[in-house]
Amino acid sequence: VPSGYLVLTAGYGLLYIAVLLILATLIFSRRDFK
Amino acid sequence: VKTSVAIFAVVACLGTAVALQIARDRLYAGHTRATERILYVRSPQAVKRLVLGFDALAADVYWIRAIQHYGGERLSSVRARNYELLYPLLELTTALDPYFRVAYRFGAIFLSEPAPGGPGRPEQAVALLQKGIAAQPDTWEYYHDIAFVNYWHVRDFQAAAEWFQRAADRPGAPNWLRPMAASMLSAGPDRASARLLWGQILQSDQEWLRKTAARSLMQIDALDRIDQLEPVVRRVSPAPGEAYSWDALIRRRLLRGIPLDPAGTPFAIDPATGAVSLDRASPLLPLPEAMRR
Repeated sequence: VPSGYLVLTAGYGLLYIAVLLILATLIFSRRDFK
Repeated sequence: VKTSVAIFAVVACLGTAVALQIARDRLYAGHTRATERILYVRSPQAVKRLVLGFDALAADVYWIRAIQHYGGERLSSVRARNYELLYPLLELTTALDPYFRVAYRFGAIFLSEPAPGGPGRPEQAVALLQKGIAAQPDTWEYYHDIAFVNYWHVRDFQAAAEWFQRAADRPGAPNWLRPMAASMLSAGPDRASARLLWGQILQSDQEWLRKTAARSLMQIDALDRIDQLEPVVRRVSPAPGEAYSWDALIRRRLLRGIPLDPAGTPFAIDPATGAVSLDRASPLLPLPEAMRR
């Protein structure tokens, strides 16, 4: 597997994870879990 | 403010992610095909442990992968089609769910289909169905399918007869199985038995099977028509210097028009010998050789 392919795929994965984390933070920051 | 920053970040991340995907697809266009051919875990025992009890769900996923692999290869424009993952995928599917009837039955059809429409591995089809029998010994369909693979693809009529007999011995088996066994033993590859078998498959609840059965029945009809046409063609030899042709036969009023095969394509005639065959454009090609007289 070429390294460029790995970098692009990993970058895509990281960005996608970042999107999910930001959305989750947004949603759960408004909740009161007490 | 926090929310707007977050939304901006989400849009920016998604945009960059899409851009990366597009760049990857452009730069490594041929690469996805190679990665699709990889099956990371081949051991059914290992997969069973890895899926943490979600066996049936994982079996469905592997079954979908098997269908995609088969269909993708079959429709690919590459000449040398490679169905190497088909059997391992089916093996994993049936190991995860030993009662997955469709996987055994369809899998056997995929495996035994000759190249380029399939891998042409009837022995793997039989092995898969025998796994099905080990899981459900009273399911007559598996025995019937082994008989069918032996009959149609391996052309071992003795083995086909034995498997039809075993299928007929199962509880709840239909009554037409025993005559099938008898006709395998007595006549070998005869068109009447083939018609009966395909006629049964034509009543299947799977559309793909019905289509295959309808095509096979048309092939058998085409062979019958060729047998009827050849004596007509040979009845009168062509005049010296003239070749065999449909026009000449129509002029002599031996035929009313150019005969069509069951798919609607005109039959071809050999100008030198008068032999009748399917036209190259006919969707019924290739005809089953064992059925020729």
